[in-house]
Amino acid sequence: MRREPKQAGKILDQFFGRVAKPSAEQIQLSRRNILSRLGAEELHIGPDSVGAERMPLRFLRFGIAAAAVVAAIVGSTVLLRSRNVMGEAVQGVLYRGYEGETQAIQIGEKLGRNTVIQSTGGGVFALADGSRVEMRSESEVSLERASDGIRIRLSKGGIVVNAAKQRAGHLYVQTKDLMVSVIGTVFLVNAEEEGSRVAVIQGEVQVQRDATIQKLLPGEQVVTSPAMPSVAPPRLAFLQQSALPIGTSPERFEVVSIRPSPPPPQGTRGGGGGGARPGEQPCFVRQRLQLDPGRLVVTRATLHGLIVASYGVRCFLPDGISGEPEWAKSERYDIQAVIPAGSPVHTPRLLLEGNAPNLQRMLQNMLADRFKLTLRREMKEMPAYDLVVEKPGKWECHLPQTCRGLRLSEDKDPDAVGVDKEGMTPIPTSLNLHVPISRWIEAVTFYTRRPIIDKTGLKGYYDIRLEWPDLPETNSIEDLSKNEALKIERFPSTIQEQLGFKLIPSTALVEVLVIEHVEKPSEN
Amino acid sequence: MSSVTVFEVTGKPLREKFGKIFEEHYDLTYRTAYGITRKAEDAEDVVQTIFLQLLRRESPPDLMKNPRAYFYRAAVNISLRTIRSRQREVVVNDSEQFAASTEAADPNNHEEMDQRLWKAIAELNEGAAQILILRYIHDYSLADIAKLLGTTRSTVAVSLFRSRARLKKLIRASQLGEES
Repeated sequence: MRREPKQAGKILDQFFGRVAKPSAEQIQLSRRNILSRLGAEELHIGPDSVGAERMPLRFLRFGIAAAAVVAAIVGSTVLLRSRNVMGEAVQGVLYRGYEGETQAIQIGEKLGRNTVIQSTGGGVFALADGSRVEMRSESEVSLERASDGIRIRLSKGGIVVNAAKQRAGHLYVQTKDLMVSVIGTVFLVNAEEEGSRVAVIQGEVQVQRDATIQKLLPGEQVVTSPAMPSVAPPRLAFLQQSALPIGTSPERFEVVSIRPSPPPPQGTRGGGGGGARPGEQPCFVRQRLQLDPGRLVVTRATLHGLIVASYGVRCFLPDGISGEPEWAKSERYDIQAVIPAGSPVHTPRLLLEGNAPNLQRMLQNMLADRFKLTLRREMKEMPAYDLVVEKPGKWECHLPQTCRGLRLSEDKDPDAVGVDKEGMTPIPTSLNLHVPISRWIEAVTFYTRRPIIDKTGLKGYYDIRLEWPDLPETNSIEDLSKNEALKIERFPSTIQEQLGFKLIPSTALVEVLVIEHVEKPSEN
Repeated sequence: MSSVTVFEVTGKPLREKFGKIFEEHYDLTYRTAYGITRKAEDAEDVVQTIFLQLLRRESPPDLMKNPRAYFYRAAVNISLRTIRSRQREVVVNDSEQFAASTEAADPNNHEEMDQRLWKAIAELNEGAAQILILRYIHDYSLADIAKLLGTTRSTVAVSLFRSRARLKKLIRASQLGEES
């Protein structure tokens, strides 16, 4: 049946009605963040000028570091109050190592220069410049002052560094055999007996080893010993959720209702009530997700989809979650949850991409409370592909608006270059604009069902358009599924022909989730 | 306001005036940036950029004339630039596309339309975008907008009419696309 289009004016008004408005708490929180970065204390913007609310001490202290930058800008001399304070403990359980003994570090406790920080089960500390350092289990670091910034010396284990933008100077990570310097990025460093590994998730870093300096872009990694296997670079979303010991975060929904999904109404696609319908995906889809600042509603969610969304794992990687019961991908639940007032606001898209950390932690706690879910993380060696360049890819246009292949992105407005107007070609395409190879790999892991290790050596940003010619017409969900199966089958030959890439079977270490215990959800 | 440099390069006046100006204009600047970027961290970056720019240079002439309009304009322009730079990186995630294509469409799903409208607003000229956002995000009256931006009520009304017409055209085109 033809649906009557809504009046455009009404839709426009509804759009403006949905525009995000920050809560009073959010305005204050952001205000503090901005002031601390601007160096509020030195600029005499403080509690007195803003009324009764006092700025928390930790923000003032962060402000001192930022003030140094401002001071340099305005040409006046600002003395740091304490050069010894380098950061503070934020989350998880950290220990201070001192003369062979360890002492627990309290959340909020300051971390001084040369402090040895140890983690047995994971934890997070923040640096004075706003960077966050997530320590993996069994790791040890110490904090030192470098000539133009802070140096984190990693003696064992692994850390994920979310480096704040450095207005001046650098943040360094030093292991026994390499040094990484950054000006703002997310990256992972491992120090093992055999050597060290650096993998970049976002931004770029410089890695110095002896006299050699190497620049790494997202998705690239370097190891100092050939004995160390490749690691599939985890999604940023997975890393953001993976620093803390599972089940230790405080964020919780206020109220949660979980009910088995009712059978779909007559006349809709498929059937099967709370069970799976033909073509129905186990992971969250936008159409079944409603999210506003105070409420989350998910219909027909599976346990698998909930774990994927909560922990930011890849939905289509078959071994990304192991130990799932049979019903994890078939039993469907309708979930309504009340989000506490003042929580950070996230969009549905951010949640689907795994970039809604607070909301994800609330979901994790919901899974622990209602599904009695317990998990652990494990590094697992699994089949993978190395992606290599067989011959340089081309950008070929066979109609004015229809091109395929790969080219260095010109960083222009896609419409301006006249090749990316979706819907202009009858041939199904997979289009990625202005992306590093690593982001493209993330998108196409769907077709390989295995991690892909980037060994193309291609630097920079690319426009990549894959065409899928000769696919049968689709008239039903079954046809769509058949076409997707055909794409999976043809993916290796398609990228070989159109992009000049080749997939070579290999193995890689991947961090996966292992379910230790789970039950069907308890009654509301 | 006198013609002295508000943000002198050194000395006490800088600090005192910076604090006062920040307090006077933070709220509107932040709300505007948040409304457009829809992310607290992006909004913080926008506000920080605006105030940091002031610390780095002498005050621009239009700040002298009408500080509120200056901060508002800066917030709109930098926020829209932030959105545009986000749009540069278009990633088609094949798994998500497939998942969405095999699910029934939900008429209550607004995100796609919202994205298109934000993109269209980002492409309006600066003045038109500023007026549109003041009217519909901050609920300013036409007279208040005219006063703030130093223009006439009729100019504001015409600009709003044209911007709305452009956005409505986009909505109709989207609906036709869905229907076909």
